[in-house]
Amino acid sequence: MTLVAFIVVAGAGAAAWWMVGRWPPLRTVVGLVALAACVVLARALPSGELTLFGDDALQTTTFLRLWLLSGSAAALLLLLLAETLGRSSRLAPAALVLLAGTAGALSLTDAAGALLLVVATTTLVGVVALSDRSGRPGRESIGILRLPIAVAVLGLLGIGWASVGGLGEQPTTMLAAFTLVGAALILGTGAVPFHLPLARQGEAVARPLLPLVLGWLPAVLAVVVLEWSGARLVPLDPDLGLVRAVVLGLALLTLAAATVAMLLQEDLGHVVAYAGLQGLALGLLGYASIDGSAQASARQVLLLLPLWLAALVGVLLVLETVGGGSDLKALSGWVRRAPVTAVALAIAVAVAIGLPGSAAFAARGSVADVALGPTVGTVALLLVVASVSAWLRLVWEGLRPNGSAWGAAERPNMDAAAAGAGPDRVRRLLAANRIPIAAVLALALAILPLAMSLGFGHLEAAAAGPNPAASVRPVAPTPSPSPTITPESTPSPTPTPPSGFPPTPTPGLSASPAATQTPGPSSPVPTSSIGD
Amino acid sequence: MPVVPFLAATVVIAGAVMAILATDARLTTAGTAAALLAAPFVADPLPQQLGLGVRLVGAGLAAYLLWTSMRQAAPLLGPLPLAGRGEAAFVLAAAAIGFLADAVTSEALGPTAALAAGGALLVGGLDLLAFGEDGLRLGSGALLALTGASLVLAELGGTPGAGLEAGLAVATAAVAGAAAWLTVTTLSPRREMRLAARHGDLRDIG
Repeated sequence: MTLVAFIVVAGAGAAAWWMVGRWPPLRTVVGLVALAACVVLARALPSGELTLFGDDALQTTTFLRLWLLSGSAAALLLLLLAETLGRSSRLAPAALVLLAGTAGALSLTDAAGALLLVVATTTLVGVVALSDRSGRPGRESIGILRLPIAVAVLGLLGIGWASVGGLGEQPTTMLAAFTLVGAALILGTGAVPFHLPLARQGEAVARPLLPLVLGWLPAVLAVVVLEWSGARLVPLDPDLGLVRAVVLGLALLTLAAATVAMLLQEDLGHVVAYAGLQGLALGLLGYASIDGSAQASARQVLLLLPLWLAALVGVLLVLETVGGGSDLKALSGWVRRAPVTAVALAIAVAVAIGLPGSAAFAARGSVADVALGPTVGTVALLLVVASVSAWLRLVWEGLRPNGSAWGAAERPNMDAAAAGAGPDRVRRLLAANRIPIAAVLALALAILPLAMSLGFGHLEAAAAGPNPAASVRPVAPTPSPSPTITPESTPSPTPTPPSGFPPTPTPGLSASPAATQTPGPSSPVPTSSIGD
Repeated sequence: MPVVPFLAATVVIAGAVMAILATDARLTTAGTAAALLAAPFVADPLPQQLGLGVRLVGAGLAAYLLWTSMRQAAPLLGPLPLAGRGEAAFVLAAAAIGFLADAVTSEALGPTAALAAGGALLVGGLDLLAFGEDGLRLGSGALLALTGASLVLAELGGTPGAGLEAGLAVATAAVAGAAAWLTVTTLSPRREMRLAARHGDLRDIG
């Protein structure tokens, strides 16, 4: 029940944040305490725990544990950084909703249910993010409904096609399923040229929420889709022909377009946003590869994505606060004045592009090679590497002489701290030193994905571990007997785990070939149940 | 054809038609609520009690959220591009095609009316989502489309399990919450439900 406790704490934390909305200091405390509790609970999450829910279950995996632990820690650090700079916005409730939704979506054994949990989380985070602004929302707010619903409809229809009893393994059926679910993924991850809905949401939200909206949510969607694909498509290895080529082409186009856009943009916020879209394109490559090992590699890339994006946003927040804006030309001399932030940027970019020799670098190579072949795969990787020039441009600006506006926003804080002793001296000192404190927090945010990409947390093994969607209770409406379907025996008086969880006997219909493809956790499987 | 799924499908289709035809916000809300509450019963066999209960709670919460947000606004809704009647005709046509396809393919896909109800909800929901000019119609469209897709999934994949029902319940409540927020926050100063052209637009403050 640790996972259920995690979901309850995250959800209750978000609710409590809203309830104490009139007292900002208390709100801050609630957000920090709830996120810290999430870190502790994620740390205590056992791998292989099974919480039964009717004929489905919530299954914890090492991958889920790593995602929740790193995500909670990154959200906590980003919240501390944003609070330090006075820009926390609604980061705490959005992150808590996202943590609860991620915990449910990545553990549910029903792929369609998991997709719907991602849709619900996307909608709620959209509301939390947009409700931050004052004034009457306009037509741009329609996106919080249209985008998730489009993803849900396409995804559900695709998953439904792949589930048709008796027809499910026919090539045309699998092609239709791949196309529909792929379309959902393309929309949800903002692949070029379908990136506008996601990009508009990124434009509308406050800066601290960028890694949530443009990184975390699409990455969770991609992982859910990859898990479904690993359970339904990969074992059958269907011939997907032209449709697969189109999806691969869109992923390649996104990699190229994001690199070009990063070079052309004058606003650092846009550069960070396009870096996120570029990372998500690797998830799309993983989906189109229809290969188990490439999809495991893609899961590694997707787990790291929100972490390095959060670090880049941390750097962005520091530079915006101290430089007075995010225009690259307004940031002259920032490297000289903020060396710790520069180190944080260097580390985050190294993880984003891939540090040679690290697990993350090998994962990128694996995804690109398997999906596109060695030659085109190398081109794809070079496109990612080429985006480093956008960051070099930022560093080049930072090495130039200081701009006149640099640090102007901090002068009142510095003057107040120098004013002398008094009861508020500690607070004034903290305010005067908020930039160095925020820079250290940005550095901590960058070190988190670096450590994981270098092997901390056994990312590689976690991403290759059990897949909850592979143990989906297969839905087989056809009453006619099929040679691969075993009729259910007499109902068991006690709850038993659904199929795919050895060594427990398999109840229900075991029509899914994937149910035997991915091994479940080793025995004994700790189980608990919700409801009947 | 089993009686309960057929009757439930009829209620679902009637609810969708009512939600589209109505220019009174109360009728739109009532039609949407009827479709949401009847949809879980369009399955044969019916879902497990746990899943069904969770789904009904989600649908009830969604209906409540739409109702409370709608009550803060003036009840009259703006027209749809085809005056509602054209859109309703498309919904009924989709339902008829669904029943026909169901009859032809019942051996392969299962003996429920889910395809008809799902198709009707998808057409009606996507229409409202695409052409709606206010938070209530957009939210109603989003909920109908989501429920419609789940019905098609039930037709193709069989009676939903508890995990899918829980996912649907959470998604329904979340989308309804977003729709309620949109409805309340986008009200014009005269309490009319109409989206401004852009954020903070005060041109219609008259």
